[in-house]
Amino acid sequence: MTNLIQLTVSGLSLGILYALVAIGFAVLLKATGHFNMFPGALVLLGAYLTYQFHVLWSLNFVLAVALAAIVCAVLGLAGERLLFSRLGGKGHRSIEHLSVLLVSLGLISLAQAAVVSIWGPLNYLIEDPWGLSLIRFGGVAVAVRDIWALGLSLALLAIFYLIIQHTRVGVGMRAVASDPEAARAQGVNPHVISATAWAMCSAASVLAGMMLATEMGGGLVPNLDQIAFSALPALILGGLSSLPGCIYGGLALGLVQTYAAGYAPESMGQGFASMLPWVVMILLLVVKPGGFAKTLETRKA
Amino acid sequence: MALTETAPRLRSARTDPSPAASRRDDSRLCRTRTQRILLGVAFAAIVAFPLSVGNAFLISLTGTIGIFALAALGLNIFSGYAGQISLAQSIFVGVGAFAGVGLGGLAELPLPVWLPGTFVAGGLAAALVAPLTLRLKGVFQIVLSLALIFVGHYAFINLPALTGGNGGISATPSLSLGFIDFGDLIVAGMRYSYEQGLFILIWLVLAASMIAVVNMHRTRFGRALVAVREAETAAEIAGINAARVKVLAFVLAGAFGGLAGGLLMAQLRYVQAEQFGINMGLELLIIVVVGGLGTTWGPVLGAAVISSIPVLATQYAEYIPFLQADFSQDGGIGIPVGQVGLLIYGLALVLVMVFEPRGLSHLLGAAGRSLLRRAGRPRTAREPIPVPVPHAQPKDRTHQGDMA
Repeated sequence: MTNLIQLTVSGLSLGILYALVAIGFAVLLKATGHFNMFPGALVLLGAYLTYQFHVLWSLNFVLAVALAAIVCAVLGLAGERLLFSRLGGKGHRSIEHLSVLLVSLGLISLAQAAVVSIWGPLNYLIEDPWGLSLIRFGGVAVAVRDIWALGLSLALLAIFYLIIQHTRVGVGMRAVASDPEAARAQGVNPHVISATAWAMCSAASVLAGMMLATEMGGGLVPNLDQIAFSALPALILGGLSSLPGCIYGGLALGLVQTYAAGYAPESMGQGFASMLPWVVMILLLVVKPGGFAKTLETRKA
Repeated sequence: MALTETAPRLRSARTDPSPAASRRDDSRLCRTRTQRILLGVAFAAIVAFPLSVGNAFLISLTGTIGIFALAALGLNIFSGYAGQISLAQSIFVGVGAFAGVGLGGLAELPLPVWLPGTFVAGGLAAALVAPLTLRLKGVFQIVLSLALIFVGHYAFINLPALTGGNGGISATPSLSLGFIDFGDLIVAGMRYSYEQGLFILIWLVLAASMIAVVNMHRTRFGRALVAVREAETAAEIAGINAARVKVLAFVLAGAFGGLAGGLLMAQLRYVQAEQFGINMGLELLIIVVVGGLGTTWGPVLGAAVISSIPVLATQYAEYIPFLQADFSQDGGIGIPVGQVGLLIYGLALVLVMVFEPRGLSHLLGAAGRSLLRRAGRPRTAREPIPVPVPHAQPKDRTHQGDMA
């Protein structure tokens, strides 16, 4: 029983991090209309920038994370202005809708090369304030980091909810998502929308990247962006552009993966747990090729 | 090397009798007798090059280029001609490689059995997952191809009898055709190395595959592929079974991937599940995009650039500024050679997408035409080719009709 509770807590904390990364992808898809893999690079860069600011430059941890998020938002926005938004209509029709995706894949490669060139291929600790400490409720030991991951992520998601539902920018974002041209005709400024989207995306990605790189999460490794890709099944499960969908999808997959890691017998083979979210996604796509999405149009993106 | 021997065919393809030549003429492999002769010369070059070049590094590099070009040729059928996207081509390369280990290494079957066996294995693996991939588009398709990579990797490391698990497995397949043994080539009393023989095998397979793909492009199926890419609904109205066409394209892509995997296994004689992951999948997609989607020479050009630059950079690191052999902790600024590959992939992909999304084939074609214009005289196919400089070569005309 205690084992079950422990696994549930760590599954939920892994799941909420998946949800954060998935939301980073979904917000961009909503605001710009293109599927962009660049948030994967932001997860990686965010974690390494936190390491740079906190460990190498000895800044306060919270300040370091905030600075990393700002730098990532600027990088993302610069990418949007200088590259992604200029790709429209380029190339042959068959790859036109993929141009943003391909360029973002190229940028991920560059980010990986940059990370290893600057910081090296070794595994570092970002010296997070939680370390490996546990907190005990009766017989149940729960990692402090997991609790903070859940709390901070939920707080960030609440802020996102407020922005999207109750501010002018949020209304504009929803308008752009449902009909970009009509939104523009109504005076919604696409630059403001994309800037907000990149800020939200980088905040979510950096928080997730930092949490994944904590000592409890496995430390800072140069293939963190590939771990971030594991959030993609959550995005699909949630139906691409629905933010609550990303949260349900992320939590479900985090739990599935953690339970599998805890309970699956040896005979299932190596790497079974980390492969399971992908299998769940494939099964879902077989049964329901549109995910749980209502907005099937976004499949074109 | 790719360019050295492909040069005659590139040049010959340019001698278009009239710009308004019909599609039928335009997509034929050889239009004139000269071209047929040049094609023969190209085949002769495939044999002559490795036998006259003793440099083992150059031979193995050009062999690798041929293998990656073959895998990319397959992906090009699916991504270029049929307009779908997949990051999972590396999995089929892996299936082919491990099928090669099983058939050629463990079962010790002869070359005419195990090499086609890798082709079949890649095709079967693709047929197995095709129903999943082809119902989806865009984001769903690319995420699904990522899923295939992860599931495929899981399958590879959990079949240790065939794949050696995480540690990899070595195999020494036979390269003998009976009357000729590519693994132990003896020509006119001279004995040549394994790599030299394998080079001939790789490039002969690649040349045959390219001819097959060019010819396929002219068939009903080839035109149906392009129709599905251009306008799927319209193609269906015209009576094309789009789902069937896409499944076939995917199976062919997987089969050529498998073939490339078999040859890769023969070249390295040691394969490991780790090789066939997301990085190789990305590399193959980048080769296809950088070379030019849906073009005949795109995969070869792309592979020549994308697969060779990291290897060359590693080899000649000491002569290139800003490169260092390994990451140093002393704060020296430099790019570790291990990262040059990623750097080149990323840079090439971004630059090509921003400046020339039609790829290198188009760029070379345009450069060649502008050079000709500046030279102010039409060149004929009979002219000798002094140096196979890539940017002086016009591109193959066969694909202009559909990429214009």
